[in-house]
Amino acid sequence: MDDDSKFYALLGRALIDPEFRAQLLDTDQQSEALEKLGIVPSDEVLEELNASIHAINALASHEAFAPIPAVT
Amino acid sequence: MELEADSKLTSRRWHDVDRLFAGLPPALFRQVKLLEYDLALRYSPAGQFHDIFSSPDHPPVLSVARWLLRDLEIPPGATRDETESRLFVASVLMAARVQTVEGLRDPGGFTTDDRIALVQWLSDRASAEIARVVPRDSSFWDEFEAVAGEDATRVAADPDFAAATSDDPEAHLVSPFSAPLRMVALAALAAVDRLDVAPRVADMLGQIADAYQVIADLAALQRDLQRGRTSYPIAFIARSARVPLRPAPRPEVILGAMVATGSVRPIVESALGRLRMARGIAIELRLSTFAAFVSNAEADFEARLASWTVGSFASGLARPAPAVRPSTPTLSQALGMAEGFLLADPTFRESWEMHREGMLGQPEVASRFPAGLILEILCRRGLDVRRLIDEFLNFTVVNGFRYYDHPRSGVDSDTIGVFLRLRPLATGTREYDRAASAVLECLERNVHEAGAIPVWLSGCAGAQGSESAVIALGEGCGTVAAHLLLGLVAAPVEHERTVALGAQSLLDRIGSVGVAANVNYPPLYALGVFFRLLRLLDAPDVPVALEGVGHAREALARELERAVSTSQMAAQDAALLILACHEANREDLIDPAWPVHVLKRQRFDGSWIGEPFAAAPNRGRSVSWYSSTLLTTALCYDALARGAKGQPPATD
Repeated sequence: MDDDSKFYALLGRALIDPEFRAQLLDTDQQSEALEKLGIVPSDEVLEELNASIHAINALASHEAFAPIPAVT
Repeated sequence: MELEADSKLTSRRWHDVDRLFAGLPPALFRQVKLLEYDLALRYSPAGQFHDIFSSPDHPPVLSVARWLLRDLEIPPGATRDETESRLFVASVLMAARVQTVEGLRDPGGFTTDDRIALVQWLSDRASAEIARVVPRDSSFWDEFEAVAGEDATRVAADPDFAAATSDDPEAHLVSPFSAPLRMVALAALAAVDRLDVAPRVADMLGQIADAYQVIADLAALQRDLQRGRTSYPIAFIARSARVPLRPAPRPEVILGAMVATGSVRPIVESALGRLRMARGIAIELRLSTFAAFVSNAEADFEARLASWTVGSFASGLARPAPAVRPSTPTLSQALGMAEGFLLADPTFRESWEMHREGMLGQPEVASRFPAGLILEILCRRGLDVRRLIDEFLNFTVVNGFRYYDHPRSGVDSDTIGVFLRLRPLATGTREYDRAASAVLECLERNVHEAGAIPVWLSGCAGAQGSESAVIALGEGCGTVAAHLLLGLVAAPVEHERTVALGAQSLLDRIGSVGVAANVNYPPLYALGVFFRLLRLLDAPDVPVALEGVGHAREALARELERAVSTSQMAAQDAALLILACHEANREDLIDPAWPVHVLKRQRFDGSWIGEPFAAAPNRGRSVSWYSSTLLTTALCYDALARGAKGQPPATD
């Protein structure tokens, strides 16, 4: 990809925004999600994205971006 | 049995801490109470103060002296007991000091500058505890000074300078617990005359502290990115992804780069490497408790690493903490909380100037005027409060434009002004124009007679006139005149002569006495209102020719520059100063510390405690301050919202 920072921002958003992440994982909505961040959904991009999906899921699945429980 | 004895001993030592805190003067005691909760929230698995630093999730901040004396086989007895007790208290005090200092440095937190005295007390008292067990002529005190100096340098370091001068991750790794751990350890060793192992013990504890700091910084990654702070993991990821640290990268970019470069593994492995070094020293010195602790920590870090990178964790173990904690930007959260508070009661009743001292011979008389100011602010921030404005305007009409809700209350310019300013924001405006025509004619007569805008109007149809000397307070207030003019200039029906007379009179007065033209409001609030009016009067479509706008602006600009050079202690003052700078188009004068000052004083319900805003009659023919939590909240909200375009600090 020409602009790494755009791709990083895409992965970062996927990490912190569960709705956006779900869109990225849904093949029907994937292109729209990429275009939202100004990224052309080329084969190269999709390949790089797929290579990172596991890492995102591993980090996100540990309540990493869930609400903090209330403390009384 | 040994465990039971340990537990009783620990309990006794916590009683020493509790007794120490309970003896504090009330102001310090209140601060310490919050500090206890802050520590418990961050460092106790069960949220209890007496459990802090008791789990392997944190460095053994409170256990160092006890473990050292045990591992070095110092015989049990009164001396060892006294040393352990004193150094336990010193450890708690130092941990409390760390939490307070870190809180002071956190723009999104709630630790305010008034905790400086507490930091001083914690430092002094910790030193005093150590002095009870370490001889005065011990070389320990030279080491103590050196470590304290190193810690002070850490706290005083300019993070921007560090970020600009080094992209080496190691330059950004400093644990706030490193100094307390080493100080207490050195004190324990000095007390039992074993300073021979001090350098290696200090090295071991430094490695442990740094290892935990790597994990803590990883957890705080999103928050640090939002704050623009560079930490070890941020510098590590930036270097791996070749992303420059200045200007500060967007949080999503570094978070995404962390994923793309697979940085979580090497970052956690760097922490594991430090633990391994610490374990090596512990084994070398035969410090078996430390070796066991570090060994457990290594297993824990490895389990976390597996769960964060592979996505699974060993069955039977507790679910690992997240690698990166979620962090909501402080400013947007604070604004949302404030909106929730402001809109909770659609009547804004708490803001009404409610009199129960017998004004006008009544048990209860109220002015709803402040609610109008709140509605104006909410509108400015784009909230749809048209229905609430309709209700406010309807009441104003029914009440005959009187300040108080009583037939004998005077009609006043503030009420007419807020009516005129809110009128274009209502759902329908024509009926309000008709309703205001009589009072505006009355206003015109009053202005022409006085040659200026009066606070209280006389001779209006339907008004019985003010019969109370108390109600007639505050005549000649330039801010009231400005409030009226802000509405009148924009009114659809022409009031050129009234505007010309009233505005010219006010401009002359401001040009002559500056912000002293204000009588009834906080001077900083008046500055903002005056600047807003000057901007309106200077607009090309204003149909009246006025003299002295520039002169008045110069006079007010001097006052604003004087005001920004003084320290603002209250949240409302800081908010008013921010607002005045915006109204004067002098955003360059806004100190970034002011919004932080406001944020730190927001309460959990989204409000800011009401601060004095205007004088109000009280019992015994006296005057006291009107204050309203709703109004102060609206002003703080307005000030913060205007700066929302800037980079927000973060909270977790």
